[in-house]
Amino acid sequence: MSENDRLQREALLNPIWDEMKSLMAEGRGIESDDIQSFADEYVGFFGEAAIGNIAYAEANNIIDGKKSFPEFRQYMIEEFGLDEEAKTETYKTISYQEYAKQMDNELSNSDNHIAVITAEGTIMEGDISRGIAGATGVVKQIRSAHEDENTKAIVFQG
Amino acid sequence: MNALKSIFSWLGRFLEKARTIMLNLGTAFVLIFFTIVIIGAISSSGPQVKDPSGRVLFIDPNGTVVDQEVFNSDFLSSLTSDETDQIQTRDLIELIRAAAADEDIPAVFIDFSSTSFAGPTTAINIAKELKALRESGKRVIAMSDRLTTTSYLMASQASEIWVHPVGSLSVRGLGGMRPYQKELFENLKVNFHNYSQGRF
Repeated sequence: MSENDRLQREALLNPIWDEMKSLMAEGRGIESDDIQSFADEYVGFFGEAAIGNIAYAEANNIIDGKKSFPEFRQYMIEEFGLDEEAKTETYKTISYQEYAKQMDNELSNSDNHIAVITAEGTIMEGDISRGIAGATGVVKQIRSAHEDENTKAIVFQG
Repeated sequence: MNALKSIFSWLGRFLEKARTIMLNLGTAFVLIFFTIVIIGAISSSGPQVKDPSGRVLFIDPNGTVVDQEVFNSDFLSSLTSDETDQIQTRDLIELIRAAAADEDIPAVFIDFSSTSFAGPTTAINIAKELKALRESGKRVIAMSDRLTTTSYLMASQASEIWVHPVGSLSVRGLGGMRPYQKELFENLKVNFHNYSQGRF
């Protein structure tokens, strides 16, 4: 890696990584440096090495501990009770998709709207697709937002 | 003359029969259609919504968290391509905030090991929402058999993190590399002639 490439990547990624580290450290009640040394001393994905990683993480409060799936299920049943309705033995749980169905989705009836237009990805000509903020599509969205009388402001999120 | 008359009367009877059969068939189809519609409406009425009270909310988004869901304009390619699911950041935030305010939910169980994010800032936003969820007093439990940098970032916001004994845990930070081939082409004695206009 060239010096210049390293310089520009570090300038971009280091502040983001620092924020991630401090969020992780705060969540666990440890220091950012502990996360950094865990990242630096990473040994590997497979076999003994991966188990070594988990042992290190457990010893340094990076995680609380190990549980296999049956152990975790048993733990959750003890904590939150057995689900009598379920076909297999499990704890009382609801998936986020099912939960979202019964959430109130109240749409605002106000005449004053703020239009939020997102452009995600590379700006190119053509239609919008995954990872491409197609100019034709984005322009259409901006036009329909500002031609609408009720739109009081447009937030353009890049 | 008689022969001609009998041909026409036969034709008349044939048409009459054909018309009756067509009409009967049509009526039968319409009746069958309405029966199916009515049965369908009765059997599907009242969709079963699970009562969430006393249940642990399980958040395990499977796909990519994006700011805005993108639909393929081409109908056929959206059928054939096997793109991963898209989850909108604002929907996920709405869900987490609803869970934080919901007294009936005893805890939230998170597993973000199958989730990818449009960018690291999207991941940080979600992590902050999870942090607020935990700070609201809700018990947040993370369990996974594989945690990487972003999924660990989510898990670290939980009250407790459990990992499978033979799972993997790799928090390695951010990085990236892009191959530059200037020297390669010099060594291969490949000359590039760059024609361009304007100032760069």
